[in-house]
Amino acid sequence: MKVSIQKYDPSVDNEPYIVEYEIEKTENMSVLEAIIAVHEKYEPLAFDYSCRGRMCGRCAVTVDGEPCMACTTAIKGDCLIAPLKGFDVVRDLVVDKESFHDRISKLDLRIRPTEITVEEFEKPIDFEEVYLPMLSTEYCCRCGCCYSACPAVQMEGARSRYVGPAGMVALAYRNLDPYDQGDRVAQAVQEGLWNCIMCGTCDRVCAAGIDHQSLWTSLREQAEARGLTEKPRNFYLF
Amino acid sequence: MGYCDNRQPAGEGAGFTRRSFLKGSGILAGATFAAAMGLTGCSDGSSEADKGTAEAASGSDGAVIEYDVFDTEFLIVGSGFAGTSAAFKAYSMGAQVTIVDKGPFSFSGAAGMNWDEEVSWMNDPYTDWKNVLWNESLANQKFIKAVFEFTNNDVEALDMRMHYMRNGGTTWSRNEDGTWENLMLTGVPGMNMIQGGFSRHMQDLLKSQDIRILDNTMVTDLFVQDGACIGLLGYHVPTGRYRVIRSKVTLLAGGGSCQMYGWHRTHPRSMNTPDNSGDLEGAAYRHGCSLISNEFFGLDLISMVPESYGCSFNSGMGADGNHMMFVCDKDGEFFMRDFIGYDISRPVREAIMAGRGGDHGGLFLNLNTDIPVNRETVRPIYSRNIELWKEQFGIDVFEEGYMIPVTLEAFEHGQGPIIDERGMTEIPGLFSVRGCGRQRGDTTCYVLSPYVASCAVDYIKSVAAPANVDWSIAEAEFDRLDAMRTADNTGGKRPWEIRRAIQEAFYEAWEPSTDADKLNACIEKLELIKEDMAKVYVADQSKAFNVEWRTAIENEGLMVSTEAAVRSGLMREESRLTFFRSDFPEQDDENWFAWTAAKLVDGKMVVEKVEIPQVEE
Ligand SMILES: Cc1cc2nc3c(=O)[nH]c(=O)nc-3n(C[C@H](O)[C@H](O)[C@H](O)COP(=O)(O)OP(=O)(O)OC[C@H]3O[C@@H](n4cnc5c(N)ncnc54)[C@H](O)[C@@H]3O)c2cc1C
Ligand code: SF4
Ligand code: SF4
Ligand code: FES
Repeated sequence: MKVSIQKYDPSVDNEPYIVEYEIEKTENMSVLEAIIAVHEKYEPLAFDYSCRGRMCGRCAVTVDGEPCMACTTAIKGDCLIAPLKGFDVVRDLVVDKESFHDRISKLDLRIRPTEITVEEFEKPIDFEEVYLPMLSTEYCCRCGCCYSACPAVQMEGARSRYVGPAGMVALAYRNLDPYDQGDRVAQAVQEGLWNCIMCGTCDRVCAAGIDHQSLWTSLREQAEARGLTEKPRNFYLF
Repeated sequence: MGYCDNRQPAGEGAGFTRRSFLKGSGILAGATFAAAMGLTGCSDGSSEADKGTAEAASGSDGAVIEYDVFDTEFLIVGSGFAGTSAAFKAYSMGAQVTIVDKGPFSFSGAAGMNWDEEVSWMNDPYTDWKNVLWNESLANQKFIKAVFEFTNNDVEALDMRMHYMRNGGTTWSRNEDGTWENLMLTGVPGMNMIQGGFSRHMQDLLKSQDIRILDNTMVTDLFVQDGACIGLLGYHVPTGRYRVIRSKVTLLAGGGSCQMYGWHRTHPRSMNTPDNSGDLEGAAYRHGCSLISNEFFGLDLISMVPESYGCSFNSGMGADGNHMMFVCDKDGEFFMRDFIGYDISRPVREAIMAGRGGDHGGLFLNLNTDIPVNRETVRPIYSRNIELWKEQFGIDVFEEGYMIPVTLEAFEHGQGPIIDERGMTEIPGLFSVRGCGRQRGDTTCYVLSPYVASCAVDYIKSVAAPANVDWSIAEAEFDRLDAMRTADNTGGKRPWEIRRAIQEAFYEAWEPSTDADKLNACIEKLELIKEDMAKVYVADQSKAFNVEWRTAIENEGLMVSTEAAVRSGLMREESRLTFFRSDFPEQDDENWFAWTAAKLVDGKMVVEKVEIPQVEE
């Protein structure tokens, strides 16, 4: 099997380049295993991973342009493995997601001025409407696959103020959270709820299987009911 | 295809003995990240980060090694459960806190895996400190009791459910009527258990506090001067820039090192993270600390398919202590169904040794039974993978006759440097959350860590800054690291080959059971591997995110961690908990109710038996 890998060490190379390697395909082989095979057999690569199970998001790359988790994605045959688009490359397949993570972390903080009591926790919560959608979003590992592929974030030749699907997932989570007291609908609108063009790309690339569009629909209904239907203005003057 | 083309010509890198050093303030380093990224190899030291605080000039061969210096009061390594809990406590007591973590922050360690955690707590206050959930038979009883007193036996504070809730987590498993799902399967009266905790929120909370986080920073050594720990040494992984982090007190919370547990295509037979490779244990040992609980691992069953998932918890199918109904031998017999208990390793190993295992060296899970696969019978974190396997590899676990191969994997390692009843190691100023003699780590580190942190904050009051910081100590470490990266060892083994050799040697000796012959053979192999390590070929000279170099550095800690497990295992002539010797299959309390402590003496590892501190009644 021929695997091509985009390499780039900004401390040495002028620009990224692609190298093709011949590796043996093993049974039930993942993209990560192919990367490790190249690293061991041919030449050192910069790559990252931890959980091998779509829960840390560190291994995310693109395969023939499509963002995916290297760890859980089956490698089908000859392909090009490159870093996730939309982020700065640290080296080879490793990108810098620091600011992306920081922005989501801030949105995820629960807004609540008083302590949650045991009595409050003991109260049942709606299984279908609250618990299940919340649980599904818990599995978001902030890999950045959706952000990298979202046309509403990565507009042609520009980038919008839209936080992107992963950040919106954090807001949808807090919107569902029965213990959160923030105005998450207003926040979602400010973060670009209406920038989304409902293309479904995030649903397709999300290894956590999150149903983003249902979450967006629910947020949009709440926003519409309050007349909050605008996209955020960009920061620049002209 | 040759190796990486950024290697300098042979000889140039070998002149490391004549390098000189350039020290800069770390405070500026963050702001000049981009500038630092652009530096090639050994830079000329003219980056913005160094202006104003630069001290040294270039050496005779022109090679200059730059490093940044940070200062803090309370320094923690590891942003996992233990490190985070310690940071919250120290911060609340008014300390200036810095956390250093090897991985990208909030995606490191076990906590960075953000799985659905399972936690336990008691309904009522404890009637006796000995029964606390964080006690274990081989633990330092003085320490356990001190932790108990620290908690005030406060049932509400010890309620893990509420702890997670208040720190931002929410869902916990719910029944269909919306009430929370208490898994009272533990067999311990009055004990509650719940699943569905997600660690991510706690890490988000940590990031929102005035706590400095130096992520992507790998600690390679302790900064020890005149016998006391005055900080840590390491480097920034993305740029390769060296870092000194000075502190009044330092706390080790680097997780359990399980990287010696064999190899399965992409990872050892361990669900733990590759980040925890024994670096801190190795460093503490090199500075004279004794390592204990080396021979005790936390073991569970996890699937070996799809093979490339490398025994992952999050994409695997496992059987925890309370989910034994699907475990069977190669003939399909469900022999574990009546088993109740936390540690499953003994019956599993006995079955394998009796020839009831498969070719993969482990047992099986068979989900094709009368028992339905649902939230009560299989943890949701596992059942969600059924679809994944099918979609990616066409593996159908419900296919008639299909049995999932599973293996014992190490999710935790008890190893740590001996600590006293305050949590301080044998080095003044160095504390550790591991090292009280517990055989495993788990989420009870939420209780142990704040206690150790509070003792460490108290310790700060008694510390005076060293009269003269001896920078040559730090520089010697950076010289060592640089030499490893640049030495011309063409023809030597590459770091991953060395790592694989350690993993194979250990696993062969350890599973499914061990004995004196196997352990002695393993020690011989490790000695040979050490020779290869001395001339390791780092086939990549770049300073930017150099996996090759990091692996070579990590191998040193891994070697210490592994050798300590093997030598301690050889000394312990009995079987207990997850430690199993076929030549001494019985537990022997008379002789072995004790620690085995591995220590560096005259350049060699020696193991001695140490008495476990008890509380006088
Ligand atoms: C997949 C999995 C599932 C588990 N499930 C449960 C469960 O449900 N319930 C339960 O009670 N327990 C569970 N455990 C056990 C429990 O999670 C761990 O014992 C616990 O996470 C240990 O916390 P820690 O802070 O010590 O280590 P970690 O959370 O692993 O953190 C250690 C940190 O140290 C950093 N580090 C290591 N070396 C260095 C270095 N040289 N320089 C800088 N940083 C370094 C790492 O990057 C990491 O972030 C599980 C463990 C695993 C692996
Ligand atoms: S929503 Fe899905 S694709 Fe996006 S960051 Fe989360 S896990 Fe990744
Ligand atoms: S559905 Fe919306 S959020 Fe998702 S990728 Fe498309 S535009 Fe982006
Ligand atoms: S390694 Fe964690 S998501 Fe792939």
